[in-house]
Amino acid sequence: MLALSIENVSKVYRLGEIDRKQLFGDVRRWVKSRFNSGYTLGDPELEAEQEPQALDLFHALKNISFEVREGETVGIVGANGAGKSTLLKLISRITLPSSGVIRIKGRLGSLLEVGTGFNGNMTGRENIFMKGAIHGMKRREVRAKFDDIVSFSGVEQFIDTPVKRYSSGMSVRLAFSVAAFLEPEILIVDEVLSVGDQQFKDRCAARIKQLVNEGRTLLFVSHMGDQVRSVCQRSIYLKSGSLIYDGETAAVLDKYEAMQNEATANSPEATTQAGQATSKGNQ
Amino acid sequence: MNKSTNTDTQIWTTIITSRTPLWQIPIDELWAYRDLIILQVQRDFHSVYKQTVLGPLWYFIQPLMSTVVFQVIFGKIVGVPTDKIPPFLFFMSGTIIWYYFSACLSGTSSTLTSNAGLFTKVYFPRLAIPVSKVISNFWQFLIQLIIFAGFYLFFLWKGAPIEFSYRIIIIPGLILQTALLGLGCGCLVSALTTRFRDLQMAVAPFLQLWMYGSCILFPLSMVPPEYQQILILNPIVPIVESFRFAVMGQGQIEIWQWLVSLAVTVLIFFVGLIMFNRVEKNMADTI
Repeated sequence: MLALSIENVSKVYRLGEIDRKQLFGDVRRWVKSRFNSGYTLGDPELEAEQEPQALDLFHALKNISFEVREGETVGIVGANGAGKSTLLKLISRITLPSSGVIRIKGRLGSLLEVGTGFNGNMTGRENIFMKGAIHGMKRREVRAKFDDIVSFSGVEQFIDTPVKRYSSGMSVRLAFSVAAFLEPEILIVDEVLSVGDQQFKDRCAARIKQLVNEGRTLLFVSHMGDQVRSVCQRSIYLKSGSLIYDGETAAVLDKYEAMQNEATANSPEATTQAGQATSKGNQ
Repeated sequence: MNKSTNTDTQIWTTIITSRTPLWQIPIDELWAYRDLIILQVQRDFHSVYKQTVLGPLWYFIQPLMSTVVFQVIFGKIVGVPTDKIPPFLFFMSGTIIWYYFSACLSGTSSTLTSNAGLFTKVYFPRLAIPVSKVISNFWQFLIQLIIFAGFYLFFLWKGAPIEFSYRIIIIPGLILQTALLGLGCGCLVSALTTRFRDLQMAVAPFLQLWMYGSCILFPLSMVPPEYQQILILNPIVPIVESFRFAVMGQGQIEIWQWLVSLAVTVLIFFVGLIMFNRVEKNMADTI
């Protein structure tokens, strides 16, 4: 059985800022579509405003298709700006694809930049319940796992203190701990293993392995080959929004690393430029 | 790529496409996330009196202060007639309804912009936030309504020209209408604010203006008949006037006027939800 199916998915971002011009553009476009009188025909200035120019568009993902079976662990690798985060945002329903279809079976839990989403004025305890609820857990479920979450995070002593008094490491650890006990059918992990000290990183890696052994489907994003190699059987390599390779982790990583080396050898700015393009597109 | 596309036996729980029907209100999803709504309401309730001295007493002080000020300025100094209703009850009834409406509107209007950080990280039905705001403001309103009931009984006992009747059964309906109107307006503003931040600045002064046109400080009967027709289009006017009529048996409101207000409410509610749904889907890209 499949857990996830991605079919011809593309995502296009519009570059540039939203300002007064866009309001006028919106109004004009709306008036035109509403009355469709064609009065703008022949007016090059108005016509230019009606559709965003190809130059203003950024294709973060280009026609991606793949499928993931239940219980499979898939790594997603690629340089900055290759579309990894965009792909995860689409799967976690944070934004919609520009075209294509994504099908999901079961509850999906995503650990995207877990450090955020806490309310500083609320205590650790209140935040655990709130974060659990935001991720779709019932209060009953959170209560059942509460002790596990707290002991995993290692902030027992401060659990009734407002989170604003926590050190940044403590709040990230607590956030990850809630996420680690969500127990969804499909787990999406994005670069989270870079949080906390070495001891906590090891504990996170162990927890992810445990979830995998329980038969959960895992999508794992990292640009660190070693992490992917240790967790995933299969990997997908994205480059500039296109899916280049899909196969055994070892083979895909070999190709990824070879191309990385080639890119750095040929032009040192290539990767940084790609990175800037996405951050611009996300605004 | 594996070729196991036997989609006949495959069951999907979520299908994401580039377009979703706009009018679709995710009632089932909101129900699934009801614990989130409950927690949000609890948090709002507690945060009101965290680090305050008077704590929940503010629920009492706020409407009483406004009522006294209105009664002195508009009742005593300006001399606004109040349709034979004791001025204190007249101003208080208007004030508490208006405060509920404006709290719902301003509370929900910043939903999408002030929670942007959260919305770009995790999916949950976004509508849960406005709905929880309307519910937490409802508790505040309920407390104020009970205070109003206390004064009402006092005036009734003192023999003021007000009458208690079966008509009060329509009050839950009026409250629901106020909530839906506040939610609809708030969602509409919230949706538009993601693109045009100007609205954030406009909400407070606009609400102030709206209050002056909402029969909070004067009765509808005081308005020249030719303007009454226009004023009826403000859905708050018939709500406030119906409330006064239902509770005190005084005033002037006709059923058709309330029906107009109901129609406007339903219209704003659905337009607000549709806009909110539309914007919420892609707001991570525009915010």
